[in-house]
Amino acid sequence: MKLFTALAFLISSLSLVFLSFFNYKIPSLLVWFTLALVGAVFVFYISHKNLISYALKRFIGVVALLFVISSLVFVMLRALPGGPFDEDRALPPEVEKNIRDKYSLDAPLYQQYWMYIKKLVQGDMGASFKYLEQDVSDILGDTMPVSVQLGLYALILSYLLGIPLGLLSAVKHNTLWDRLAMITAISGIALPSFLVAPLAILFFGFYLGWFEVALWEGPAYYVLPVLVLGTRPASVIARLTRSSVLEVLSSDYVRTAKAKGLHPFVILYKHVLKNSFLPVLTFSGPLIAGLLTGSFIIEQIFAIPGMGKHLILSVTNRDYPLVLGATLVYCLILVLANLIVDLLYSYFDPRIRLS
Amino acid sequence: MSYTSGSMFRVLLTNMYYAVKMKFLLAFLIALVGCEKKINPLDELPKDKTFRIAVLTEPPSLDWNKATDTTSSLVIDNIMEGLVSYDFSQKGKVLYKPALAQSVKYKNKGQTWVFTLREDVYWTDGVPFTAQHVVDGWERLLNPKTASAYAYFLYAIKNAREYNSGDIKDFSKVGVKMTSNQSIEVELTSPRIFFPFLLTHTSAYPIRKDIIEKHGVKWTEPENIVTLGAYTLNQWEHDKLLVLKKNLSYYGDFPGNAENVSVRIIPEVSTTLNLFNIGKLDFLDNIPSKQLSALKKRPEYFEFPSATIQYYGINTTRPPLDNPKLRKALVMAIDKTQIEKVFKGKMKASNSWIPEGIFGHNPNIGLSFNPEKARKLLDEIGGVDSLPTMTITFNPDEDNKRMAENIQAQWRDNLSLNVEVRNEEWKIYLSNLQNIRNITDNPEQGKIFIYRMGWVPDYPDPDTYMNLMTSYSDNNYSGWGNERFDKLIESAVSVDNGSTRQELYDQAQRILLEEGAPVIPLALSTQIFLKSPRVKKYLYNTMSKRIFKEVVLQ
Repeated sequence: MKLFTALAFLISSLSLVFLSFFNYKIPSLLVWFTLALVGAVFVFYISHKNLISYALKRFIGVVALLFVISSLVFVMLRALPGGPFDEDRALPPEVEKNIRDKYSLDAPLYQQYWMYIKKLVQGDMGASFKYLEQDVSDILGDTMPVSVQLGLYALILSYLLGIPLGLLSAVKHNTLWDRLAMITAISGIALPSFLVAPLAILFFGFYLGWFEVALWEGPAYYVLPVLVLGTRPASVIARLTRSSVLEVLSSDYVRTAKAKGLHPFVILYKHVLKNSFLPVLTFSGPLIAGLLTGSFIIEQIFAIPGMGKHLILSVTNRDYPLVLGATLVYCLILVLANLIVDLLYSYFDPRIRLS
Repeated sequence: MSYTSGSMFRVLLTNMYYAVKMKFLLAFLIALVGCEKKINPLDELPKDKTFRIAVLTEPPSLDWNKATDTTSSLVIDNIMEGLVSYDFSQKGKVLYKPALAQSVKYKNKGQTWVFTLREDVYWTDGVPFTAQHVVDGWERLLNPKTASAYAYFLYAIKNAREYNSGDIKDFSKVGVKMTSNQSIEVELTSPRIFFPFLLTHTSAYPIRKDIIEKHGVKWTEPENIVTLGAYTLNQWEHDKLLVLKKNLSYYGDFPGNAENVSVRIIPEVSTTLNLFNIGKLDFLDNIPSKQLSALKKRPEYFEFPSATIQYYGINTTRPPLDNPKLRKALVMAIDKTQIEKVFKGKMKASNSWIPEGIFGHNPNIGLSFNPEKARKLLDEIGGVDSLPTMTITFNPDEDNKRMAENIQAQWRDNLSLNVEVRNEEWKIYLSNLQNIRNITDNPEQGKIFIYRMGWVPDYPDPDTYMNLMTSYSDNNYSGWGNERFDKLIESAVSVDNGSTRQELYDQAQRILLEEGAPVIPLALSTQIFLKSPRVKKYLYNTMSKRIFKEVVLQ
């Protein structure tokens, strides 16, 4: 049963990634199937490990947290000077009053807040103040899939690149390989993406002509932004993996395994890797949230129609509903990712008890 | 999964054995192979008939009663038309020509206007265009429930302001009368010779009330929208791309051959330049300033003057700037040719308030560069040492910063006056500007000494510039007001004799620039383009309108 589930998950998620990468229409059945599978595994895992009450408590905490965050953002936004409809052309008082009435901006703050929360509970995030014909859910619904796509590829890349690199430099500790790998990792962390991106465009796009320089229309377009976005987390993961593998390698049970005569390959992949994954797991929560909700700089430079720009520009525009919507989505993903990470701790290290 | 054996290979084999048994998984895989590829809408457009451009933002609204920004109007102006449109055929000035109206006549010096409409115009759904659609559009624009920002465009019409403020509930009291299915009579509050120009603005275009009622707020989506201009809105992938296609039932001329226009939404100017360089865009009108000197050498580079003025306003409510002598000294200590040098063609020096290319422009009015006289004026009011440290405030932008630093250096060199430069986030900046005027003893008022602003003309008439500085104008942040100036501006709008009107504006400009000096005209922005060689013809104009139907591609 376990094997079957794992295989099904592997096949469906891999096909999701490949289909989206090669620009095929994704059957919604596949998406639901994958999500249901992940959900089922989690429910099973939670009940199997006796984590039901823990997960429930955390879930209530998530709801409370979202409520607190939306309230805080609501108040802070109103405290910012300048209103959503201030433009370089000043408006006559009559016109301004009509606009303020339409969006109830003159109502007492608690009334506006109450209206907002009431609608939010019903799942309505309201209409954007800037994009007059679009609801916040329309805007996020249009842009978020793109950001998720970009973020997902970058995420996969950073694990595929970071973990082997970290392993390599830990196993070949204090050799030239180790130095080379770590120099690569440190430069990946130190170089900002607004520098790496134009350089990558210049070299791979213009000079070599291998990949497209901007836009988001197919595999040739995906490579550069994913590469640039994935480098930094890959470097962090490499460094985390290296130090924790080094630590595990010097532990007693590894010595025992060696004494038992196990093949070094088996020791490394079966006994060391799983136990040294904890720091990377901790880092994964914020990483997933950050990558899936879009990167402003990368999306800007490569003209990718994701939601990163709405996280930033909605504040500049004082588009209150969009700021709130984008923040809530970001927070939701962040707390969910952290919750999953916390639940997974006890899988990777059974000594950890969650309660 | 627990494996007791050390052999990874065997584990793998077992896995595969199970996998083969999972017949339904196989079926699943086969289903995936049959998946369709996504179609890119741009691949379907014939390249030789497609004009490819980019804009910096998603159009905030394609509801022409509500749109206020240039990106939205760029799209709307090509899918819709008004009663009249701009006539750029004459050099040095902009006139209007009939569009949906076949004739425009006025009575009572320009207080009553009669528009006779064409009878051969059809909307894209086949419905014939009538005067009712125009009246519907104006009613909706002025209706307080619409809350349109540009409702004030029609405040010139009798009782329009009262209807918009809700004081009058009955639209029949507003000075708009449908005299027949094809003609409209408009009565204004007072004579205005430039009234038809107001109707070239997107907010005054006719609408289809039935369509808006049927689809609600989503009526601007391509599958719902009904238009009558040269193009139809074929696709709108939000935040990504718009596609316009030639309207086959368009009533007017279609001189060009760009049957499709693709408008990509690309927020970063250097990215648009990259795409232009690899041949994915045919036309750029936003160019990174830093690259200007390199781009100037390219054959694709074109410049065209615009009627957009850049100026510094002075907070005249705040000492020591309440003294006109100091203000004049500041103006005369600026050598505007320096600005031209710094901006390498992106700005054209200007001393006058009404810019070149607009009726009423007079190059002889305005204070010109005269550092000796400026120093003398400064000595008369007690010299540089008596002045507090003043600040030039602007909103964050590369060009604004460059301008402020240049003026700062010029005042230091020419007057030995040290001023500070400061940038403020756009909305904070705007609210500080409004504070100058709104609250007289507000401590926040002190935040602004000298501010940067620009003015894109609403209509190609001197009134749009001069009205800006009347004491009652909402856009006059300087706190300056002059009764004689106000009177001159009010009387000039009803004069249809060219030379008399010129004389009135000359007097008014002298009061503004040579007596009061609450503003420092700095420069006119130049429109800068990169145009691919495959675009054989593109008509530029001073009002920065992008007219796609005239584009000729190779």
